[in-house]
Amino acid sequence: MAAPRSTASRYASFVVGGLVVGVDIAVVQEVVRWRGTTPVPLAHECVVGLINLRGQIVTAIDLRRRLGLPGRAVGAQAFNVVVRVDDRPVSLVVDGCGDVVSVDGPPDAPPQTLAGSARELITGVHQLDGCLLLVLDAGAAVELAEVTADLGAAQGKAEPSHAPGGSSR
Amino acid sequence: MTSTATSVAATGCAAEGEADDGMAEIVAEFLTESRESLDQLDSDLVELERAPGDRDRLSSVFRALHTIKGNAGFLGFAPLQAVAHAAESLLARLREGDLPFDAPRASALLDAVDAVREMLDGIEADGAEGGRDDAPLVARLGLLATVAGAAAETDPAQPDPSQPAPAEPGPSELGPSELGPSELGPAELGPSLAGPSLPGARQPQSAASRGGEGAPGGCPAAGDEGEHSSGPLRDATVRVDVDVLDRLVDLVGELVLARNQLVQRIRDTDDAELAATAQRFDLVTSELHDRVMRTRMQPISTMWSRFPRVVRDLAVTCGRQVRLEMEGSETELDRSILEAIRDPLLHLIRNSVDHGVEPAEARAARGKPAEGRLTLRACQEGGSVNIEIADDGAGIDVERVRAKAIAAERDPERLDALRNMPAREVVNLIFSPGLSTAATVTSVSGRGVGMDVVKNHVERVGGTIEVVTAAGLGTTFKIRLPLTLAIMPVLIVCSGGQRYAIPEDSVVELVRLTGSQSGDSIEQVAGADVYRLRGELLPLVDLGAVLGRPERDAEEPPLLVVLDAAGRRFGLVVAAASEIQQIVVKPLDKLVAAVKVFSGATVLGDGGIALILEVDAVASRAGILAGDAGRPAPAGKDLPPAGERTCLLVLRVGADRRVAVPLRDVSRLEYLAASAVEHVRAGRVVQYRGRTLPLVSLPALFASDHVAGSDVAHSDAADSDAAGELPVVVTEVTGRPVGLVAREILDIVDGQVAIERTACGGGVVGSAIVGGHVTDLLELTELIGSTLAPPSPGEPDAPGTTRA
Repeated sequence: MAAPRSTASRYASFVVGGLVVGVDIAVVQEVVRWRGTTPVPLAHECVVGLINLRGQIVTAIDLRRRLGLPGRAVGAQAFNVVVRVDDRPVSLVVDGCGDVVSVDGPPDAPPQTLAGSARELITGVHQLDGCLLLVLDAGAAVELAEVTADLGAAQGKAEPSHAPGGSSR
Repeated sequence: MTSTATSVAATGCAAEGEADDGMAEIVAEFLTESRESLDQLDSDLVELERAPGDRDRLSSVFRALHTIKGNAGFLGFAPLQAVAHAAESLLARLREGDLPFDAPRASALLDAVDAVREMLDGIEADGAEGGRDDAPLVARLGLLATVAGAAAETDPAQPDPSQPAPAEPGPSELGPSELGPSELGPAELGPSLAGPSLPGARQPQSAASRGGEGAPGGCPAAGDEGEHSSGPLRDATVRVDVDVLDRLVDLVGELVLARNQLVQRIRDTDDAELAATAQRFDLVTSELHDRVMRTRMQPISTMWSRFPRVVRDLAVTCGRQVRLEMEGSETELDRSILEAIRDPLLHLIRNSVDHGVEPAEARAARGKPAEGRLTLRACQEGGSVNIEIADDGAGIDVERVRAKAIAAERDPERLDALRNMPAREVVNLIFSPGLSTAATVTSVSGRGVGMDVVKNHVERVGGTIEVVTAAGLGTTFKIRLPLTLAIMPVLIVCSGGQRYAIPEDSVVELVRLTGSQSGDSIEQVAGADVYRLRGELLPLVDLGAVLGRPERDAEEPPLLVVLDAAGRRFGLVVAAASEIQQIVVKPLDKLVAAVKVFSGATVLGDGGIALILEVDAVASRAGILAGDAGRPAPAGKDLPPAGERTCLLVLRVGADRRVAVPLRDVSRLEYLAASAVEHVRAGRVVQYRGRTLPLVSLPALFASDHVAGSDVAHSDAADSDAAGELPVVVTEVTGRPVGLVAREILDIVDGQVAIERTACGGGVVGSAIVGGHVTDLLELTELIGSTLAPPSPGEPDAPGTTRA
């Protein structure tokens, strides 16, 4: 997205399964309280379902499962962090929201102790007061390999047209 | 903390955009405007080539290019300006009448339009025209603007039109002076380009007389877009970003939902004033919804305006003379549908020019005018739009299609069907995969891919396509499309506590299974549910099971939604259904679009979400459409006889002998009392629904083939006495009901079995291994024909009647 104006990076911070995760503030569209989802049978296991975001239908991905963490207790509170990736909104379901954090300097390399899928999604860490901020690659988090592999270019959508279009009267 | 994140995100975005917003906006507007002009230029230039005397059109072309040049100069796109300037200079000379508007000049101008278009693409992609070298093109335009008309027809200018300069950035070392006959095999391209100059030269007289009908091509709506100088009309329209429109549609959709909830609540109150207000609110909302939906509609001319150019270029490439006529280009369609059918239409047009319209000599020989006619028609009819692409060419050779289909058919059973198929149906086989009747593979079409893709594209947006042809007179493709994709009537059903939407056009009927009925009429045949609906056996699919949520509501008697999937009916078992609703279809994110069972989603009146079921996908997931019914069997797939018989009813006819019949041929399964069987001269019959039902004993037929004679007696004894009840398969394949007596009805299996074809005769077409047993496959028409006598004369020695 936007080129950083200085070395400072700004992250929206969230809590997921006890971890503090930061997402580049530029990709976060909004945060809404969890109000249940409409499940999508047969979908990828990380897809919790669909939410109705003011008339727009947004796919919600359970960030716990995406990171290979244990599932959330039934009835526990949760939030939809709606991120914009490839110009479409996707919700990452997290346990709690923190502040926007400004950090100077580049992140350190992620710890080697991260498990499985988390290793691909966490691109670095920042040392904060009292905790580690794991930097999440939101773009990668909303790519579900098995699903996008062959069917990604969802059929039914006409291939992008080079038409003069762009406007309508 | 939530709000912090949100507001910060918002301001961040705003700051980011501020820097170069103004300029970017101007460039974006320039791109949009210029592209619209270019489309209009394409068709205007083609029209001018036909009717060079049309001064008004020439002026409008001149003005359009002038505007592009001016804007490009203002925005600092020098190369673009240079090309536009060269084209404009040529046009100026043409307008003054100094030079004739001939084919080479038309080609050069069209090439200039292409070059400008490519540069616009470049500007959109990375802000610059790209490393192009348009000097050759500019030089060519310059040359054509100076050389006198006579000279243009002879040597110096002639080779130039063959320069495909705009297509590729010419090699930079080639200076303008060097360009000429040496480059890029003009010998090969020259003649084909010289061709169109002939009609062009002949045109003036005929074009003048035709002026009136030629003009509709440049439909009024498109004309307005191109006219940048015309005042009042321009003010009547406003350019709106598509994203804004889409968002507006979303918001109105939400408003409608809120209205639904509100109005429902208010209806229950006694406040008359409030009720009146609610009613007005209701009406206004509906009206608003309707209007907003209409903003997404675009006249079909936005797509068609390009076609004259396409047809002209194709005609040149294919060496044909083709006149394009367009009717009803003001017909409006949802823009998403327009986009979806752009490629299919182009393909059909290509086909018509390349294969439909004959070369001039052939046309002359048939007494047709040398110039072929291609007509595009569009009109609205109720909730759909019809589009026709008609040519007056050779027509499709139906017998050749038939021959090709027969050659491609690997299933001997279908050959007869193909031979006897009426021509009207045969010709529609061209939409089958891999069937092309093009004698020659040209660069334009005829590789055997395409028509099936065309059909797919059209069907994907809910349309249909068919072709009508008359030998020697021409071919017409008829496409029928829904007006809009955004709104669709659906039936909302419930399963596993979730709601799903089924497109109304695949719903045939609803059947409520009351307690007693459900026990009676749902038959469990070895795990597969079948329901008898008015004599037809309907395979049942439990929606919950298909979706991997098998728990079914025990208390609620299930509801059957009879669906039609690609011509095949099946019953979908759901817990409940509500009424048909108009819904706003929302696409699914690619994350979930991969689940093919859903084609989209919608927000319901209460704010909840329902997934839209893709009926064909549900059927194939449930194994109903295992062979992709409705099409001729694709090569290399093992399908049972007749291609679409995917379900087989397996019967036991001897101690260890099994046969299978296509479930499609089965009307009913009955257990009849053995004592009810009566013997008449023609064989055994039973009274059944007030008629006599002739019986064919399968054990007698088949068990005797392999087993010793004693078994015949045994099997029949088993039939009539020991069992007490005879399992009877009622079929009507021969036009009257016939009962096939089996020992036992075993199973219904999916047709994905490897079938070995054997020529056994007597109604056996082959065998397969089904569930670990060798099973003979029966062809009922033949079996019954060879077994049962015709109703009156009687053939007492027919095999099935020997025991009589």
